[in-house]
Amino acid sequence: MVYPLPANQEYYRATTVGRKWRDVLSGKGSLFLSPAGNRYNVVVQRAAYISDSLEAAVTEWAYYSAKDWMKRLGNHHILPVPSPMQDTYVLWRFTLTQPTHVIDVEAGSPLPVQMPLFALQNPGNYYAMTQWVANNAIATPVAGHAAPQPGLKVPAVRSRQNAAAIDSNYVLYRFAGTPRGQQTGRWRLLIEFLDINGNAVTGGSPRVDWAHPRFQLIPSPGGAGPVPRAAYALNTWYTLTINFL
Amino acid sequence: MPLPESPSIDEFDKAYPGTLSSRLGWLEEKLQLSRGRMLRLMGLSSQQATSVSKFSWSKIAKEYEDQADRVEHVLTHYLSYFEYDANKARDFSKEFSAKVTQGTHSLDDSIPAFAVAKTKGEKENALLAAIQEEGSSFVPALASFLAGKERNGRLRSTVLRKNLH
Repeated sequence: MVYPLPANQEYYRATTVGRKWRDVLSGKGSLFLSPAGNRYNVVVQRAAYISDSLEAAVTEWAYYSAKDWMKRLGNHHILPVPSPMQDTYVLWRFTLTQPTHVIDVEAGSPLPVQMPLFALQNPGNYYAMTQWVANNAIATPVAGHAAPQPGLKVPAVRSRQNAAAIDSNYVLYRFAGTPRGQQTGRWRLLIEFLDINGNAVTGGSPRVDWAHPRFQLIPSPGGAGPVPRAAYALNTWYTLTINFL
Repeated sequence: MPLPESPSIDEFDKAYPGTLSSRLGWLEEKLQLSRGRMLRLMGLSSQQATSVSKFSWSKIAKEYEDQADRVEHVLTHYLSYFEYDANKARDFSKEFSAKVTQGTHSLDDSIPAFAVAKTKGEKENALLAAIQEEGSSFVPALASFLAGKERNGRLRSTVLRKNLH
């Protein structure tokens, strides 16, 4: 089913430090996260994963941040993990000029491409089925829109907390002229994992509360920058809940 | 209240170039890596790396774009573990490598392919595979590779055996 992207909708994506605006929609960040590709793109298929809510974008990023910290803990004897367990990223806000529509994988895909919601929300990193859905959705012409389709609207697996939740991510594939957009905000994004008692992780911490990190937006160096919309003030901690951690 | 940030993060964010070829040049300089080593990290064979290392990063980035993107990602990921301080990253690599030589750490323990590798080339390939996988052996494999010498994880076992007798 075609999902028209609302005009002037603002989207969010987090990146590592050092990235420029031109990197944000390049789709390169999705190339190498996993040797087997990612949820809706195979290896060497460029796709930008973005969200229409600040919290969903940060939650998705925090999930990968958690996985990276876990990997680092596995090498704590070689390279000790610092305290507090806090890392710095960049959060981007932008509007899109291209694409103007995507395919909603939850609604009305033709059989056999349609998959049950619980399958689309597989919390594991086993992506063959969703990659297959993606490739079929991209390659299928729909009324008024010739193939290839420029993107997908997909469930935000790490964000949906209950059956009624509708948090979504958008997967935008890199084709000539798309995706394109305009930056409207950029902040430093701090994500910190606390211990199970809600304190900064130290040598005395019993274990890390992986599912409930906190985040804070601070102005990018060189200027105060815009104030984030929604209910998020700068320099203030907010707690997230990440599914399946 | 604003939190204090590492100055190296700010410096990196400001100084890190915008194009792939400039980024590769920046990483080569700051991490003091030879171009040949970077090309090996990109997945080129030793023979290819020797031949391609004569080219500019612009030409390499154009001809091997996906591999160049890959090495850029791997090296900045590694840098992020040191708050993007290239000096700290370089020092760690040397220190870790020295510990492997002294027998304090063993690559055999964490990289099975390294443990069974017989030749210098096989050991280097085992390190490269572990780096590409970005799994649990990412840090020790990349630190050893960046130090740029053959490492023999069996050394630690020898030291342990000596200590036991």
